[in-house]
Amino acid sequence: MCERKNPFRRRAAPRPTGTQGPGLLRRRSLFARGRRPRKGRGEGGAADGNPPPREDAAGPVGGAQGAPGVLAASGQHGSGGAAAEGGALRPGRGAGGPGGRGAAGAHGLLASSVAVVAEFGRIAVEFLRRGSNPKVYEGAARKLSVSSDTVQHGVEGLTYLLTESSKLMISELDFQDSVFVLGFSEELNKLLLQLYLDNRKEIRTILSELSPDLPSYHSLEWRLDVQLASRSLRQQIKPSVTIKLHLNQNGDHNTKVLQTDPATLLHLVQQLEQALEEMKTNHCRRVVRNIK
Amino acid sequence: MELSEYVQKGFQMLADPGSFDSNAFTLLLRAAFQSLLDAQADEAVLDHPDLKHIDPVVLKHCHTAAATYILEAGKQRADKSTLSTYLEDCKFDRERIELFCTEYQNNKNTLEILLGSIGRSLPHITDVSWRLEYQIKTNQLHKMYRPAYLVTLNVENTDSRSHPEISFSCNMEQLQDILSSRNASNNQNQDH
Repeated sequence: MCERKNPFRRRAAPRPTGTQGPGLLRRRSLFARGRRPRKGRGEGGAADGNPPPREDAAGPVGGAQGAPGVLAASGQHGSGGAAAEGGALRPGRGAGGPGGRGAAGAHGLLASSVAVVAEFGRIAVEFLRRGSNPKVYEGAARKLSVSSDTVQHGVEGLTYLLTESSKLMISELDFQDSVFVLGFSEELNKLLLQLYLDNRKEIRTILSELSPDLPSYHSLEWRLDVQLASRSLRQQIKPSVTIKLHLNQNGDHNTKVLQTDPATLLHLVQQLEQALEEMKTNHCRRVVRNIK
Repeated sequence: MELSEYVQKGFQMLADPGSFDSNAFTLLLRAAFQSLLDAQADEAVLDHPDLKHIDPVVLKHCHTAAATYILEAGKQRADKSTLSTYLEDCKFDRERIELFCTEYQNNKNTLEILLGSIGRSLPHITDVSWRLEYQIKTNQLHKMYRPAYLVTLNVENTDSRSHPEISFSCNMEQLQDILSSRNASNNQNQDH
């Protein structure tokens, strides 16, 4: 998983922030935006009902533009700036938005073919694992006789849907509610739910790699040496432990070779054992139990 | 032990009771040990009133010779007989040889520690600090709920005298892993 070309990783722009939960905790849909009056343009992208995310983020919001545009074909496109309308979402109107262009066609397309959506879902997950590959869009576009842009938006929309749901770890019911507002067929909704449930663990693992990273432990090798002589002193007996520490940072593998003497080693072991013991104290147990 | 002409000449001068009486000899010897082993050795270690009557050049020569000999003896871990042999060859009398050996014996440990600490080695771990945290969420991932450890190793570099630190994070299983390998190496240590 080292060379992951995650679309999110490429972008330096901040992610949409207003996406966490009170809305979801109260079981509102991911696409609840469609139901409320909007604040204005530049606030596109699907999110939960609360303050909409900033538009500057590229990846997920690009996908977000795609998501409503393609999957739900809502009227909300950041650049299109169409004001929200309550209730049912309509085929994309904001022709300015990138999602808008293929939206109408894609909506009809996706709504009608569950198999197509299944395929797109598979592609989306594959892209999350390995990074996007534009060639796949070409192939799919040709088969479905639509523009590859449409395919791209469809896949990006699905990606966004999956990552947001996995990130927030929403329950099945919440997911169903969210997807329900998109106005798809029952079969399609079930398919999307299954896609979410099957892949969320893996997606969460992938997302956890995006957090601010300190070098993390990978493995450790050790060797016991005895120094017998040196240039400045003959006939010595000096035991020492040589340690090769393998660390990971941002996918790079780093090794450090270090040395220590037996007394320090004992001290290190004592300290680290204490560290482990801490986790078992009452205080820590209480914290773990109560923060859920 | 192979020593240079210079050292030999210095010792021959030192052996001569005419140039160095007993007192001077003792002082010079002590000065030699002191300048080698005492970290705060004064540069004016040879500036003793009882040594003033001796030609400074001769003084310096003998001092250098003595210091060189001491270091070489320490390096080779010379025992008393080896020391005596060489000093006899330089025409030292019995008394001076005894004195030398006693002084050497007194300072042997310090000398060996000093010599043993010279040299390059890998960065040496001196201490460890750790921090236990409980991760709740990041902006990429909510509802994380897992404990994590941040371990920092204090490392000392012999040549550059720098003190870089190595920090890394790990979870509980990995810490267990580290400990089991450390314990294994500890046991190996104790067995041998």
